[in-house]
Amino acid sequence: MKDLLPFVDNLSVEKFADKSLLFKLKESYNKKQYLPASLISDGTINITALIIALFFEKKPLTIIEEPERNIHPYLISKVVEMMKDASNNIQILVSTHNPEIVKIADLENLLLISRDKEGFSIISRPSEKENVKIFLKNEIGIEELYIQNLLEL
Amino acid sequence: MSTKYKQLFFLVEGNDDERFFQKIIVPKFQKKYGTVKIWKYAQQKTEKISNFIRSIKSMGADYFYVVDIDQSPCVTAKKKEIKRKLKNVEIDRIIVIIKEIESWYLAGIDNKHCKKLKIKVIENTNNITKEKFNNLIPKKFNRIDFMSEILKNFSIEVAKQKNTSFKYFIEKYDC
Repeated sequence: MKDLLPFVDNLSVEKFADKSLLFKLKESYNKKQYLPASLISDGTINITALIIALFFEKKPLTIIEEPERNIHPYLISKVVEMMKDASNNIQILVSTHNPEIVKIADLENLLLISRDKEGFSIISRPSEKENVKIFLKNEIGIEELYIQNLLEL
Repeated sequence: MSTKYKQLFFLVEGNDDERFFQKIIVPKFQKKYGTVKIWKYAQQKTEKISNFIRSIKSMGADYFYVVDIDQSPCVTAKKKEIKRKLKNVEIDRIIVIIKEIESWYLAGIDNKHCKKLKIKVIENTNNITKEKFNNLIPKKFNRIDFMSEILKNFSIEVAKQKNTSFKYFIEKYDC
């Protein structure tokens, strides 16, 4: 957590009599009090949820939808690194529309989901496409091919 | 040699060009090519555009580099200007739009649809710039809506009569 969000000093969960839980967080800027979830940024909450899903859930498969949501672009490479780290122990499937994630993820781990003329989904591996290899060799980045919708070539 | 299984790339400047090419030009070329794709080069560095062209050539695909004539005195001068900037582009692959893509949009509306859209009939769109086009947009439309509305009723035959560069492109490449 500190690696991504160095200002987080501590996390806590408060239990209430009605069995509801309140997530709260203490920042290094103000060590005297915890901030309730309602006052914490969405990005901080998403990163916290990701850490729990990746490192504290005892399940062999974790599927994450758009982990980039509400997260500053600078932190995305760290989020991907964290997911790669966790993937040593569990299988992780990530869906994304984020070019930064596409850029940082290893090419052989990318699966492209597109739709054919009838609207059916097709899954393909950009790493196996000859044209993608040619573009990459000529220094057209994978994220550029993704943004311009050229990965399915 | 048949080009049916070849790939074709249109390198266009921005979204307005892409919208036009996707709707009007790409379907024409799909009869001749296996795949037709568009790549937008606005905001791209010259080196990257050059790398893109090199990639296209390496894969044996065809391409067109589409550009507005802007302030250039003639098509030849514009082509030379592009060639100076992009060393690996072939002169005969450069398509120069006179004057801007908006003139190609406007060229395809026939008199009946001009009335329907409540815009004045323009017989020759060679001098239509972005600014002139924007001034023609009826109040009930925003710019993108207006462009989409034009494309719904676009006539290639009418456009050939109203814009010289459009006619040249369509007839030269037999599409």
